[in-house]
This record gives sequence, C-alpha cells and structure tokens, in this order.
Amino acid sequence: MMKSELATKLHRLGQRQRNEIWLQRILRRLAPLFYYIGIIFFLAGGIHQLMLPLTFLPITGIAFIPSLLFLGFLSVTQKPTRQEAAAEADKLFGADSLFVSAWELTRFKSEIKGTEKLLLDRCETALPAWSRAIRRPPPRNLKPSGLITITLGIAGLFFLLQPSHVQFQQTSNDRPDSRTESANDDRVNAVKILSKLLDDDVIPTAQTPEPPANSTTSSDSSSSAPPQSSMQIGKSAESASDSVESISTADKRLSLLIDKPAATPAQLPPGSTPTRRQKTTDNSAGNEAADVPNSNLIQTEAYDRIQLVDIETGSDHRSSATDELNQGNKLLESKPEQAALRQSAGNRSRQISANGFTYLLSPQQRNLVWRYFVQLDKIDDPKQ
Amino acid sequence: MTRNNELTETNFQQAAEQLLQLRSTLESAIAGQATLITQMIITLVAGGHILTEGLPGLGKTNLAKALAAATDLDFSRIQCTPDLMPADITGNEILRKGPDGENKLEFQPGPVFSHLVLVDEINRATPKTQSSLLEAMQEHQVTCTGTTHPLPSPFWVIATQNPIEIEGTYPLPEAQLDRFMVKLGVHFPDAAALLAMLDISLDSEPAEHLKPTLSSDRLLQIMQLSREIIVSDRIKQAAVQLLLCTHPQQSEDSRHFRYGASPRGLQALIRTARVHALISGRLQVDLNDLEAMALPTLRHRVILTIESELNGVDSDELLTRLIHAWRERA
Repeated sequence: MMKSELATKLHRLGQRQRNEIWLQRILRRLAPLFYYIGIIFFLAGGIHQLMLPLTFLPITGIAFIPSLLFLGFLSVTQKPTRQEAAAEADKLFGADSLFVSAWELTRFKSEIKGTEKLLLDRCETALPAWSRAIRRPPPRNLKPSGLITITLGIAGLFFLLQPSHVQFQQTSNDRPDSRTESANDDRVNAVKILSKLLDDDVIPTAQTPEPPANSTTSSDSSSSAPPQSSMQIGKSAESASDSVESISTADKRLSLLIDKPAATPAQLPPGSTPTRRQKTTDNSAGNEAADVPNSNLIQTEAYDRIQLVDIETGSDHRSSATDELNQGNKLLESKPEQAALRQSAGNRSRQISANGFTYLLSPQQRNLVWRYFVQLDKIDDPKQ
Repeated sequence: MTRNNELTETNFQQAAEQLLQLRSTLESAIAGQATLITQMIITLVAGGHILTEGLPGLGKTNLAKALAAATDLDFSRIQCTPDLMPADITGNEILRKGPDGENKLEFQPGPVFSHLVLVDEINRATPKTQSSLLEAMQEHQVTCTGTTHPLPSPFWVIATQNPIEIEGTYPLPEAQLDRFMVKLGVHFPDAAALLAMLDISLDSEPAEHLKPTLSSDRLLQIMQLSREIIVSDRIKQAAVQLLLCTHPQQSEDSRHFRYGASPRGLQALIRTARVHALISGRLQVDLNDLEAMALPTLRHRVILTIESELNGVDSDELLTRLIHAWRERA
C-alpha cells in the first residue's frame, strides 16, 4: 500500500473519530437542555390542563429556541482538533499509540524511512481491525433520569396537545358569560332582520336553490341526533341576554320540532322551490300569517331561528362540518332576508369567545344546527 | 543493521528477545527483584547511570556484579568512605621510571575507567569526592593535570546508598543526583523470594554461576536500535505535561514540592520509555511506557518543601498520585 493511500485511510479513520467525539461532546453538554425541554413540556402540559390553557407553538419555541442556540454555540466551540481525534481513535483501537504515531508520520513527515517504514507496515496490518472497531458505534446508555425526563416530556406534550380541561369547565360554566356584547348586538340585528322578514308583505323572489343531493341522508342522520343536545343548547340559551329571553321557549319548541320530523325527514325534490319562499312571494303578510295557525308560534320560530343561527354563526368553526352545514343551507340561500341574516351573523367571528378563550362547537351542536335548518324549511313548507 | 533504512522487524524482535533473556538471567541470580532488574536493564540500554537505594543486604551490590557478569562488561567497584579522595576514583599521575631509567609522570587510570562502575555507598564519600564523579558521569571523560582522558564506551555508573544511616554520610547534592538517570528503590523481598535466595546463594556469590548472555558490542547495537524507536508528538507533549505536574503550584499535590523535575529528567523519561517500548516489542513509545518509567526518572529530581519533609510527606507517594492523575487526563 502506498503511503498516500495509507495516509488517506488513516485520515479518514481520524476524521470519523473526530466527528464521533464532536457528537459525543455536544450530546454530553446538551444533556441539561434535554432535561430542560422535558421539564418545560411537562410543566406546560400540567399548566395547560390544570391552570391556564396554553398554546402549543410558543411553548415549543420556549423549549427549543434556547436549545438550538446552544447547539449552534456548542457545534462551533466543541469541535475537537485532529490531534485529539487521532489520540482518541488510538485509545478506541487499543493501538498503544501505533495509530497516532502513524497518523503523525503520514501527516507531517514527507520522507519515511527506517523504523517509520516498519511502523507503517504494522499500521497497515492493523488497519482492517481498526476499520471494524470504528464502525461499531459506542454504546449510549440512557440513564434512568433521562428515561424519566423523556416520559415526562412526552406526557407533557400529550397534555399540551389535548384540549384544556380548564377550557371545558369554563365552556360549560361560563357559556352565558361568553356571549359578548357584540354577539348580543348581532343577535338583535338578526332579530330585527327576521322580524322584518316575517312582517314584510312581499319578499322578492330569489333564485331557486338546488336542494342538496344528500339532504335525505342529512335529515336521516340529523334525526338520529340525541335530544339531549338540543336541551343543552336550550340550557345555554336560557342564560342568554335579555334581548332573547324567549329563547328557552324557543328551544323547547325547537326540541319538539327536531324530534317530531325524525320519522319524516324533510325532502326537497330536485328543482322544487321551498314553499315558504313561494308563499312569501305570492302572498301578503296577512296571508302569511294565515298560513301559520298561531302568530306567536311564528314569533317563537323566529326566535328559534335567531337562537340557532346565533349558535351556528357564533360558535361554528370553519371546518368540514361547516361545509356540510352550508351545503344543506343552500335551501335558504334563495331568500335574500335569510341570506342577509346569515351574512349578518356570518360577519361575526365563527368562534365563541369568552374571557379571552376560544371555544368550538361540538359536532352534536353542529348537527343540531343543521337539523334546525332542515326542519325550518319543512315548517315553511308543510306540504312537503 | 548498519543504516536506518536496512532495519527490519527481525532486528527489533531479536533485540527485545535478548533483553528479555538478560532479564531472565539476572532474575536467576537475584530473586524477588524483577521490577528492579527490568528497570536497571532499561536504564543501561538507555545509556544512563543508576542510583539504587535500599537497606543493607538486599542485593544491590550483587545485582551490579551480576549485571556485569551477564553482559561481559569490564567491572570495577569503588567502596566509598569519608577519606576517599577524588584521585582514588579518577586516577592520578604517578612518577614512574621508564625502561631507559628516566623518571616521568604517567597517568594511572582509576577504577572509574571501566565499562560498569559500582560506586558502593556513595553517600559515605565526601562531597569533593562525589563531585569528582560529575565529569565522568556526564561527559564520559576524566581530566587530570590538564589532560583529558576519555572513558571506555559504554560507561555506566551504578551507585548504591543506604537511606537509614545519617551519621558519617554526605547526602548527594541535587546536581549530583540529577546525573543519575534513574533512582531505583530496592524493596524487601517476599517470603518466596527469600526462600529462592537461599537456594541460589547460600554458599556462593549469586553472580558466580552467571555466563555472559549479551556482549558489549551487541549491547551497543541494542542501545543504537533503541534510539530508532518512534516518539510521536503526542507522547512528547504528554511527557512535558507529566514533567510540569511535578512543579509547584501545578496541583494540590505538587504544592509539597519546592522544586520540580529538570529538563534532564524529561530527557531521561523519554529515553528510558523508548527502551521500555523496545522490550515490549513496540516500535513506538506509548503512554504506558512513560507511566512505567516516570517514577524512577523523576523521584530524585523533585525536592520537597521543608514543611512537607518535617510533616513526613513521602515524595514517592506524591509522585505516584500525580502520575496516576496525569494518566487519567492523557
């Protein structure tokens, strides 16, 4: 083997050992940060679940940004010299300074003679064993403290990613309070629009909406929704603002409305126009009132709609569930007033905000809202 | 083996085997002193002088005699006493009548003119006499009345001293101590060694039965070969670090030292380590070689503080701790 070839191999071995030492040094000095990250996540998870809901991203930043900065610092300062790496490689091989001597000879000496040549021959003989030795990574044992830290960190991460327990409590306890003043204003606006809708003699004709292809399925699925969801909404509506005091009554009404059509799901044939739209187009306000046996019932229905529209617009999340809801609500898009009502409500945030926290509408609640709109159309068109 | 580029593995293997054979020969004469014998051979091959220290009757003198017998070297012995004069060691010019009847001064070489000189109980000689050995040991020559007389090569001095006798002794000055490459302690042998000693030397001198196993010429070749052992920069740096460890203010243990080892100590350390590597069958010096030869080469080159001496601090223990700590760091 030529000297240059041997030198290359020796240099490569030394370089590998250098990288290994570098990594070990960094890992050894990063150990405290490892504990730091684990503890941060654990504490954050605990706080998130027990005290104060926290957001994931800032916690991640707090945990990792110092670590990354320190890692960069270490990678610059802890890089071993080539001589150190050669010495460490010699220890690793158990070469009794044969490796480091040969490494120095090939690196710093231009002419090899006498004993040096013999030494390089010995080195060449031992080279395969060294190559095998350096391929075996040194064992990195995880200490019990490290194991505990990993467990705590993962647990904390899990708790942090879960919805806050405090959030649920506040949602159930503080739902009346979560109705902000702006929400009340929107609701009052919605009442006004709906009242106007009910009182108007002539409602301009709008485009005939295409009924959703899966409206039957949606109705079926909605009919299977448990009534306790509606009761829950009714419970929350009872504590609403004074401007909608009759909401609880409306909720009862709504519950009846929801439960009753479960056996007869609302179906709109393709191309058909909702009856109510036709009536409101052709008839006067008096006629419309005549269609409904009790005007109070109409008013109650209006409040029902207000309440549920409020729930839908105020608490629904922009999600696929919302899209499903919108698909079903195409029935109402032909009515400008209802569209206006929807738009008015839609201008609000689609999340319920209270005390600085954000709450989402549960799937049952969204389902209930959908059912409400289906039932609303059915009420509007009793023949169907 | 005349030129460096003609060196082969066989040269080194043979040298190592012959040195090991010499050790076995000496061990057959002096029982229970294996470490001492090894260190003595290493020092001889390294070309250094040896100071042995031990209680009387432990075989110091016999070991020197055995070494001379096993290597077929010229051997002379100097028994130091307080009235020993320098000229008794180095030699002097005496008036002699020539064949023509004319009287003239002629240099009569002293016992120092020998390959292997045993200076027994060197601390009994006066400082003046002790100093007369300085030039011989360091420069391998003797100057008498302006004329320089070279000593035979190889030349070694093996001195012995008794550590417990204070009265009538003159401790060697530091400058004199530094001339010795190593200071070896002769320890009391264990029971098995004592029993073996009875079998070997009950009715005769232990070295009487020894036959030369190594000629002086071959010894010189091996000495030359030992200089071919490679000492890497890392080993040199480690040796320097070890030497600096003996200096005050370097560590908690070194604060007991008033003075640390000299640069000559560093040279002695490397030279003996090379031979240690040769005996071990290596072509390069390792940290283990330095560790093995550190205590013998450094122990007589450090000086304890007065307080430490009064407190009974043992310099050997201190050095052992320092060497151990250094080995862990290196």
